[in-house]
Amino acid sequence: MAPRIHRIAGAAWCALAAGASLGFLARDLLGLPQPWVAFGWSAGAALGLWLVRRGRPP
Amino acid sequence: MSSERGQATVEWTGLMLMVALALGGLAAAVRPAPAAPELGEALAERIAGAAAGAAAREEPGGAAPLASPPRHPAAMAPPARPHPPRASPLRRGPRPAPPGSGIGFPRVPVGDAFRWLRGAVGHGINRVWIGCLAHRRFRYGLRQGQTWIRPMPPGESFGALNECLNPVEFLGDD
Repeated sequence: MAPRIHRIAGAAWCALAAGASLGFLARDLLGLPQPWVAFGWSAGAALGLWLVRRGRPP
Repeated sequence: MSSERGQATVEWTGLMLMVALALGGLAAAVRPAPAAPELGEALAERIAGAAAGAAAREEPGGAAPLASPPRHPAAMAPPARPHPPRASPLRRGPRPAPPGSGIGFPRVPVGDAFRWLRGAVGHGINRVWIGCLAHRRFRYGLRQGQTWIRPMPPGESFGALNECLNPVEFLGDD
């Protein structure tokens, strides 16, 4: 049970941090409009989950 | 307008922080593999044994050569198998050019480069958001006309954390 919770929490954190990273790049560094910021956050979260799925947790 | 004294210090501090973050991420991405344990000790034993044997042979009088010192088990072990190929193409030396191909530039296989790039992205993608906190702190310092030495109030800190990590801040309509 505990490893499962740990794995889910790790994946959720990776998605959150990766989304926040690309969202930060899009919003603050590039100054893109809101739809692009939302797209960047979603793409970052998907990338983080993909990296977790590939067995390479960031 | 408030005083602009110390403004250059704030900007240089932010710049140095960004450079340090970039270098830290690069160092984490190309971190070297740890050395094999006991290899240095085995090499030292072999060098000491060779030096003792050479000194005994050079002595006049025909004294019997000294027996080789007791060796470390690691020194008598068969040679270790070569390391498996590493993922980072930056650690590979230049490859010999195939005959007739001209100048031998270092060639990096596309697969290795892609794996290295994926590893670098994997290491860095979850740490870039920390730069958001630094960016918020920098903007707060500019707004208040402060230097980086004075701390941020807790409310401002939590607000910055919320703006940097809360998905609603990115996905919302504002």
